[in-house]
Amino acid sequence: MSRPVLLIVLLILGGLGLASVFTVHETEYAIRFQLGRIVNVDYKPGLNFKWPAINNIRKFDKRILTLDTDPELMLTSEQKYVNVDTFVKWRIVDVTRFYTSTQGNESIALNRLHGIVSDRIRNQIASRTLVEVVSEQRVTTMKAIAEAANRAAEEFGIEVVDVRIKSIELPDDVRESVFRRMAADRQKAANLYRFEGREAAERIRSDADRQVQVLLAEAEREGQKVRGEGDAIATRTYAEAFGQDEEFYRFYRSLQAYRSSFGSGRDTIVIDPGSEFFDYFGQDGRD
Amino acid sequence: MPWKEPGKGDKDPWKSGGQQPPDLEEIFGNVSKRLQSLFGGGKGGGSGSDGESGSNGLGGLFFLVLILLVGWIGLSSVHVIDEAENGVVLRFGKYVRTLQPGFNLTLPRPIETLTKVNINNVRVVEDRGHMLTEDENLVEFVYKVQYRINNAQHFLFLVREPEQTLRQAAESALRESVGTNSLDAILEGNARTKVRIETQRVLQETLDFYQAGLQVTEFNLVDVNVPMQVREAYSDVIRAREDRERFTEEARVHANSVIPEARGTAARIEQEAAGYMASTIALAEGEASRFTQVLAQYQMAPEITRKRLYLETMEQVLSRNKKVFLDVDSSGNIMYLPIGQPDGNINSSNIIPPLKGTSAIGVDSPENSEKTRSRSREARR
Repeated sequence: MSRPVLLIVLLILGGLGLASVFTVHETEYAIRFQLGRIVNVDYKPGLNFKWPAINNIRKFDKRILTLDTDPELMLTSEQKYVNVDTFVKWRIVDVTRFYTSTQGNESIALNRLHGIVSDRIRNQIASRTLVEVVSEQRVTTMKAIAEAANRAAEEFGIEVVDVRIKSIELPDDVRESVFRRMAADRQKAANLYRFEGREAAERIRSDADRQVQVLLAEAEREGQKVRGEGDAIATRTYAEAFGQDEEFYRFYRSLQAYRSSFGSGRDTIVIDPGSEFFDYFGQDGRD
Repeated sequence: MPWKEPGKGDKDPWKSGGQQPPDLEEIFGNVSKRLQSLFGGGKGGGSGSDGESGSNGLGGLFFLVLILLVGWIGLSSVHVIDEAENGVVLRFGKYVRTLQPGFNLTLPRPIETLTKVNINNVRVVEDRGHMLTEDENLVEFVYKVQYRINNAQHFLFLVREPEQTLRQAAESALRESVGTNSLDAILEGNARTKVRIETQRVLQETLDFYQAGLQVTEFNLVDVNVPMQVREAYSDVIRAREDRERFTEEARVHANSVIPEARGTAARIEQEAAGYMASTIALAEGEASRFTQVLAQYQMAPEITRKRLYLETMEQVLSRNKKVFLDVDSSGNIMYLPIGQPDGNINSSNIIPPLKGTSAIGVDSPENSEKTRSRSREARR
């Protein structure tokens, strides 16, 4: 055998060798078909063998895959419209079933799955109120959807790992009214704060004014008491002194009063010439 | 030498292959020789025999292929793994080992393939959205998730698009925990920490459940706000709350000024009263003392003292004032008194009835009016 012939034989053998092996990735399932019939689906990752020409191989993703669709308008049990946005985590668990029911086409599978999940979500939302879905029963709702969807997806060889509600939104027109309500609520709160402030201020002010009034009145009371005491002592002092000779006091005090009453020099006094003062006026008094 | 590193011996397929460095040198040596001969042979094609030349050409081609092969093997089997990375090695698609940072060898492609995964680098995802609260209000969030890959195998093999998954799960987890809180609680901040921790917990649980190989190192709420449409109303509430404080504060200022002032006034009132008391008593004592002393002297000579006091007083009184003499006996006269005349320099006048006897003033008598007038003139001088 000449060397070129040997080379050609080697090449052919190499080609056959390459055609009879295939690799399976960690993230893949593989199906081996023999003339269109499935003969093996149980392949481990790594190097695997097949017959050249009569076998062909299809591979499918083994990982958790995502179905993320646009939000859908749904009705809650109290007939409120909400836009529900969800995503579904799923994976192929039975590759034979998956292949036969979807022709191995992932987008067909996603369509089917979407139909299933969207229906289950609709049912779950419809049996709950908005508050329940948003807050109280969100987790249970999601679990219930996942379980229901899982049962239905089984026939496609699909396991629904998880369904999660990304968001629950109000439709635009409803949102406007929510904004109006929120604003009105805030308006109320603002008014309350302001009136509370006025009330507190008025309380403080009136309390202060009361204190002022009381302070002044009490001071006045004390003042009058003290004045009264002074007057009393003075009166006693006068009475003791003047009581020694009442007649002389009257005389003496009257003179004092005359003096101070007519002390200004601006008065005009009309005098009867017969008064005691004039006893000696115009005569020497000796009759 | 890397292929002599302990622990890698039995995994290293080259050791048993016997391709030692001297062999490589030898190969390279041969290669250069062959190359020379190849090109040399090509040039000198005419001089040599056909068979010889053909054999040489084929051999040269063989060695060219060999060089490319060796280059390929070298490139695809020697790897440097960075400190922050892990290298995941697949052999024909099957996971075989994870390479640690440093210099590493694998079998050449396509037998083994290496994927480097940075497991230390902290990645950040930032997103925003508005969501419903427990009390059916809307709130806007800007949030940031920091995460890193904590399991390279899971990250690569178990979930398609793990980072996209993290975004979706974060959005869902945040809304889940926001949905269990009221808007006020979230805005006032006391629920914010709760939301943050709760979201991180739910997010991590979800990722672990998917085995995404990701670890959330931090979940942050960068911004929490009410929607644009109601922001004005919300800030008005804040202003209103400040107004409340301001009103109260102003009233306090008022109280703090009027009360001390009143206290001062009260003190003044009391002081004045005390002053009045003291002065009244002092005056009384003074006057009493004066009277008592005068009385004592008076009693010694009552008649003369009385007369003296009277006359002195009258003297003083009359000397200072204008006088009108009026004969009381001739009652029934009209009396004219120069009261209120500007030239008389009289501002306020006291009309004093005669010191003794009854008054004749106001009795209508034309006879006396002339007399009175003349007397008044007299008095003015």
